[in-house]
Amino acid sequence: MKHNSYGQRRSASLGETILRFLLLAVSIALILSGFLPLLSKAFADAPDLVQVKLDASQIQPRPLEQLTGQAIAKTYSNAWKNMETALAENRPDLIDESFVGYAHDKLAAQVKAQQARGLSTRYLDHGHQVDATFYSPEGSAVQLQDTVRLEIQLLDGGKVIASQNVTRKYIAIVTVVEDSWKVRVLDSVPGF
Amino acid sequence: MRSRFFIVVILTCFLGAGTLFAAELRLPNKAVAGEGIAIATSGSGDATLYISGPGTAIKRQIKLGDQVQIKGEELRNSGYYLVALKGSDGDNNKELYVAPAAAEKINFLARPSRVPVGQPKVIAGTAFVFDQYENLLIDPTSVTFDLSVPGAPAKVERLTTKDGVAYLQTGSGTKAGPGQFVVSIGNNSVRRVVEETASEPCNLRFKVHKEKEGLIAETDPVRDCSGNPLPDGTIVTFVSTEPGKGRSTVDARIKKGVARAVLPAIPGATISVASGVVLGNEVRWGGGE
Repeated sequence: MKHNSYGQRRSASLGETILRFLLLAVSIALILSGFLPLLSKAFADAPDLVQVKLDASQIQPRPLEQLTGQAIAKTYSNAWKNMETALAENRPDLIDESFVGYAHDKLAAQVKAQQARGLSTRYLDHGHQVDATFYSPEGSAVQLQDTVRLEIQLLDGGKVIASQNVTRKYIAIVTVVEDSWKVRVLDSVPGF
Repeated sequence: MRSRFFIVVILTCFLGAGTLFAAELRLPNKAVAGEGIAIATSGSGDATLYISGPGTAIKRQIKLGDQVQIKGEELRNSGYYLVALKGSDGDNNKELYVAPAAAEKINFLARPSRVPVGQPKVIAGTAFVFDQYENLLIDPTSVTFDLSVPGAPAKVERLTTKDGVAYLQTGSGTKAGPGQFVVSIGNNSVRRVVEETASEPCNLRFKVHKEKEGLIAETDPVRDCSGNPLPDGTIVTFVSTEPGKGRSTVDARIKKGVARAVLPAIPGATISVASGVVLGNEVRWGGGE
């Protein structure tokens, strides 16, 4: 009889141990599932996609067709992604894909100057609220007004020297180049 | 417990003192692209000054307490710059806005390059205004659009830019010719040519006479409703409908203002003329008009 109750107690404690291990494993899995995306974001060189919300309801003098709007939003998002990666990794080759004209020249100059001094700039991009305000009558240029939340880090030799959390306003002009859209002007401004 | 409290107090004082004595940066209230600025610093010892912004990345060793001169050529691009100081006394960073310089350059989009006369809202011009360093001027700037065709009064419109852009949408005039579409700010201007061509023919008429090679059909000088001659090379089609034999069609190009074609001389044939969407008169050969 004694032997039997000892056996029952032993099997109960084994069950409890397994249950505890299961709970612990589930907790670890939950913690990891929560942290891994954060860690991957924190250590990522550049975001996979820059969030751009485009509103063209107030555009003038001609309306922006839906497909054109989608193409411009995608172009602008890619341009920011390329700019952020180019400035973070000092890669001028990424600028050609999305930029042309003045914006291209300024970015290329910045990357070159950073390379020469061992500096880099990291943007932590929290998303863009973009209003398309002007679509040229002949359909070859669109002006965008962008309000973006950024954390800008200046790095010297890979070490963060300064960091700023800012809400910035940019005016962009996107133009047709051959068969696609490219950013021709991207200037930060105090207001619209 | 009490010792922990003292440690926290000491750390707070230490950090506070660090902040108090951290090297200070004093930036100018106003900076303009292409103009040099002076950045004042406080403190003592060596430090590194960083300036990062559009088209620029500057790193300079400085002595704290000195005033640092940044040349105009190093700040040619308008926009926001991050100015950071890293020294033995501590770190500091600020934001500097550099405004565009005066308006000087214009990017001008004009369409189309060729347009018929007398059409409403067919000519469009868009002007983007920049300073000499290619910074978009966001302050309202006066822009003049001037569209003129030789021998006709010019259309002049003065507009003000909004966020660096001004545009004009206008109709073509009544006189054909090489239109000069000019946009200007101050003494700087950019010119595009918009060729205004004659519109559709108006009152298209032709006559026939017989020659050795056949029936010669020849139009009067072909003009549009404003009196502009249609350009040489414009196609005019002559159609001869022959009783019981079907139709013969001849396309002729306008040369020196008139179109001319040779048709078979079949008595009773009805000959008509057309150009584009315009039909002209009809002539019956052998039976009169």
